[in-house]
Amino acid sequence: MGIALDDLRADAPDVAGIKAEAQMTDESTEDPLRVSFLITCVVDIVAPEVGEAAVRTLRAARCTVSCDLSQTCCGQPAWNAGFAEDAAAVARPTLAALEAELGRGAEYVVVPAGSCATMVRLFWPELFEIVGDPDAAARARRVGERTREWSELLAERAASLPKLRLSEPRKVVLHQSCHRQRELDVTPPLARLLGLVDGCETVEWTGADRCCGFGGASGVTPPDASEAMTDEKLRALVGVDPDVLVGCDTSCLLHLRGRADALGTPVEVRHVAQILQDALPVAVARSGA
Amino acid sequence: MIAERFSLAGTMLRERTADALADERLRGSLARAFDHHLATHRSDAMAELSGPDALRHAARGVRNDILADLPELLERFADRALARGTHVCWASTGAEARDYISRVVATHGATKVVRAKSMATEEIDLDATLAASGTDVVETDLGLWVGRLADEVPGHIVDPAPHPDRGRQQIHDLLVEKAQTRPSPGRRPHELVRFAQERLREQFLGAGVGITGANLAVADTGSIVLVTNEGNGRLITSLPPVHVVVLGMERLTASWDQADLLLALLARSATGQRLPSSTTVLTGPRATHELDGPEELHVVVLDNGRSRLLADPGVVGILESVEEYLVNRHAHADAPLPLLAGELADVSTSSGPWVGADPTDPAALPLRSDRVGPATGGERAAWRLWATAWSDARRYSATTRAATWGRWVTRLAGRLPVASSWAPVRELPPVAPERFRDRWWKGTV
Repeated sequence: MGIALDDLRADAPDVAGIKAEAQMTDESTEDPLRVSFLITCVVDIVAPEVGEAAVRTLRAARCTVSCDLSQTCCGQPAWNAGFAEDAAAVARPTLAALEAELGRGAEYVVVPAGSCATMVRLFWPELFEIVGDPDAAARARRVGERTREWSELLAERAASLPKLRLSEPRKVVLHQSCHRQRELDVTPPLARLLGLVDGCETVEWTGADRCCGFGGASGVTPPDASEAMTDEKLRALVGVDPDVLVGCDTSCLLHLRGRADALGTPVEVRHVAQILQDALPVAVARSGA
Repeated sequence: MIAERFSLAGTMLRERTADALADERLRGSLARAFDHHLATHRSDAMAELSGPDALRHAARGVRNDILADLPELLERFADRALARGTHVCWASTGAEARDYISRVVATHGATKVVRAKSMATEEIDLDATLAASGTDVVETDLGLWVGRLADEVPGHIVDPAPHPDRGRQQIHDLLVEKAQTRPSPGRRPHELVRFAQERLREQFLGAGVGITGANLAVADTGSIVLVTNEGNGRLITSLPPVHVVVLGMERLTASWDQADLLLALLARSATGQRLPSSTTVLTGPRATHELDGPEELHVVVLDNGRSRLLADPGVVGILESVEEYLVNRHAHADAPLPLLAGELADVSTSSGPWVGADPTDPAALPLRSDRVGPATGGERAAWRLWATAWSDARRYSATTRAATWGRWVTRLAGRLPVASSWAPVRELPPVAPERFRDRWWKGTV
């Protein structure tokens, strides 16, 4: 094992933070970045406007976005419910689509949802190993290395973004979803991106890092506990009274919005990409190019 | 009987969750306790470490290594423990553990047993067995002791007696009423604590056997590690002549390096402490040159379903946790591992999302779902149907068009525990008339 008490002392600087800052500074002179968009099923079917906002903001940051429509879903619903075979069956065409996109020259796969990005990047290799397909697992590892959650990639491209300004000032609170916090460790980009938006005030609240209660299967199987979690999260809004609750996981956001609507909680629930899209100069937002 | 009231057996997670959720005061006090730790103590304590996330992932690796080597480690532990004069009992079931401990108590003619909060002893329902044979079983954890005066089921929340929200006045009244305290000990916290201390001290001194769980065991030296914040573990291991440890077999570590890492994370994560107030290490009974420790030390290594969990790759995740599973802050439904696994099978859900409520899990447990029980035929068929449809882009497209979506979802939902339980309390999001892929295809994105 070899971890001694000496290793536990806090004297090393935050190397990762410094590196991330350095990457952000000299982007503007680079060529456009070719990225492939993984739509995710929830965005595709229920919230296509989130996908549009994600794509248009990427284009505004000088990304060339492609999208292979032979993708379906990452397989996460079945994986969350414990059905690996079914998850793998659904993940296969999506893996093939993303692999082909990288083969055609895309630098990254961009995913507008933390949990789906986690599925591709971290759980696909395990999933394919479990179902006895080491070849797919190896391919999934290669794709996973090139997969980025939307806010993560966009924050790296921040220097290429035009000036962002909301015509009407908005007060927002963040929902740092579980997969983004726990698996991807990409919580900083959200605040960083919103910090670029003139007229957008991000306020602290106690609910930021709490699970919304959706939690894969737990959102439906023990519904009373899930409901209690959602309600507690929404109650934390009282006194903070933001205009908008924003996050980067559409399934969490739909879950929160569904409950907020049922309770009559006066808060808009939106994906961060939608806020950024609203803040783009009009010409850029419309053409995206 | 006290033991019956405290027994977890005969209730299911679902029922306990519902009961706990209905208790607004309990939820309020748990939320305050958790927010206090999560927001301040815990994050401060973790932030003192250099690279806390790397350490948490290292802990996950250590837990995985341990589980992979468990049979060898258990043998090594037993060899070293026996060499130091510890009695080791392999209990494959709760009944075997209960029988062994009852015999130890009977052999020593003990009429009083002191115990420290331990989910392993709750798991095997030990108190009921001992009480049935006329043994007086006294809990010595302060919060739990107060809880027992109020006839509550014990849990494993580490915060001092947050369960339920009980003010000083209520604690005082409990002491006066149930512990027959005349005159009143006073209502200030230190007066209440001093009273409890005096009462519990008498119990320690009069007990023939002390019973604890174990937070960790170390195979290299055959040692047991106990952490407490009240020192009751230390008194139990030094005052009664006989000490019995119920060791859940997944609590093992190979070496002190591993124990060191897990202890550093355990206390910081649970209570925001660098170390607990007392970390007690027991390596064998009192030797002739030693001043304290029990004259006789028994370690009951408890399987009780754990090896079955270990053999199931889908469930091993539950055993990776550093401490016993805490289901979530919203419903205090903590339970011992094998029991919990059985119960999760009952709700046919998974471990992952439950842990999702806690972004600071000390072993950085992955957010994933482990099926712990057989799926119903209907559920299996629904997923198979879904997989058939969505494993091909054309079929995916056919089922997700606005015109067909409703029919398709109804067909699936009849078999899945989805819409029926989700929808009543929430507004279902409407399906977009034009999907993202349609917009992309038309070039309007």
